[in-house]
Amino acid sequence: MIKGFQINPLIKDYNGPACAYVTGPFGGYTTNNKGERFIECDYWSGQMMMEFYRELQGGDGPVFLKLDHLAEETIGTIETILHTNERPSRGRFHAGRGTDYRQQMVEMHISEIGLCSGHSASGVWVNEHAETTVRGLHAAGDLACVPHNYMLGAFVYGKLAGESAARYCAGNELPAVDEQQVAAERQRVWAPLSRADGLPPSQVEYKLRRMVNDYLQPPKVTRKMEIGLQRFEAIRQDLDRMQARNPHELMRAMEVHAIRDCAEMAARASLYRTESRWGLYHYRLDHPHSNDADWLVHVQLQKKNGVMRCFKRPIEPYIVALDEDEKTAYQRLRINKEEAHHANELAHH
Amino acid sequence: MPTSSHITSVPVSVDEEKCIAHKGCTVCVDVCPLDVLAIDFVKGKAYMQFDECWYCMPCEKDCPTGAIHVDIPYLLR
Repeated sequence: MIKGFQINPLIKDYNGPACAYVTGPFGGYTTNNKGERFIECDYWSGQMMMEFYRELQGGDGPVFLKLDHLAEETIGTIETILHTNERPSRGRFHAGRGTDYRQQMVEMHISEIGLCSGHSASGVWVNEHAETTVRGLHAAGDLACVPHNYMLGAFVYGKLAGESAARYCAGNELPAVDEQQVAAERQRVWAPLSRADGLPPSQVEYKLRRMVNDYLQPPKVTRKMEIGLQRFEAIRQDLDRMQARNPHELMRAMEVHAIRDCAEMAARASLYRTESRWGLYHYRLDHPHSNDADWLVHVQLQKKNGVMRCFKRPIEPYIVALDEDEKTAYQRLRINKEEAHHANELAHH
Repeated sequence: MPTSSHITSVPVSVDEEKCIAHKGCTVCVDVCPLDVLAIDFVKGKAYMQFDECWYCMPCEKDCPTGAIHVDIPYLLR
């Protein structure tokens, strides 16, 4: 399940989230360039990113994190959290640009796409026991498709994966090691070390990432994704031309293999699902509407005879029943200004 | 294949007066999640070998002698 990839609101020019959701309990929130709220909830989702994108397209961007209305001790607490936990260099970045939460809002921007399953609707499919479709291979964390579950999902699925893997090990003998398979893989991985006059892995990665952003970044366009697939296919030839001069470059070269596979999976799965879903995550301009009749399913990829192939997997029934009203809550994330105004009037009378 | 090398300013600086890599310390190299720091065995000092830093700062926080400083890279400042 790859097409609902991650696109996050990050701090402009800084490799880290603005963390509006962390400041929420203290009174901080996401705003447009007028300092107005436009979303009901600051937590990340495809619909949240759709509203973010609409704000940018409508001329009300950039989007900001607003804290300047808060009391000094509240801002101090927020600084202690944000500048010492996830990204301790954040305070240094803000200081370098003269951004003080007391006076300025923090500019955000939409990140490049990624396949981090804990923060999106992508990842390797697992069942309720954290088993993948490969027998004996269990997955948890940002790799396993437990969408939008973040650390809580990683902890819970880490426990499930550990327990089910232990059960599997207790019930199965170790298989014989296929020495030929090991030798072939070692040859593949070490090949860049013995190549002379080859491509630098950093250049192949840069080019590949640029093509991903040029052709796969939502809103998705069929023709662009088809061109992207052609580019990724061409870059497949470059993998066998990369040269590594040391273990670090070899690691980067092997990462390029994985990035290229992910790019192809993202393009193929996105093309397969001919509808739109999850807000901006899978917004296709040539198929702009959701179609539950055909597409309320998982779209997954498998490797058959060395070729990627997409297929549908039915969704398991919900364990906890949803109210009809709750089913459309996701689509109603944008603040309705008239309703908000009306509620305000009532509160004052 | 013709190549060039170009100069780039890196975010991690090491105070060689304070660095004790010559005594066998490799803390900064060990904690770096991106494998971009290394020990220069001729000098016996740590240095930033690859310009792929995410400025996450464990190298600075964990250095036992306070020899490391992480700057936000110029391109992002």
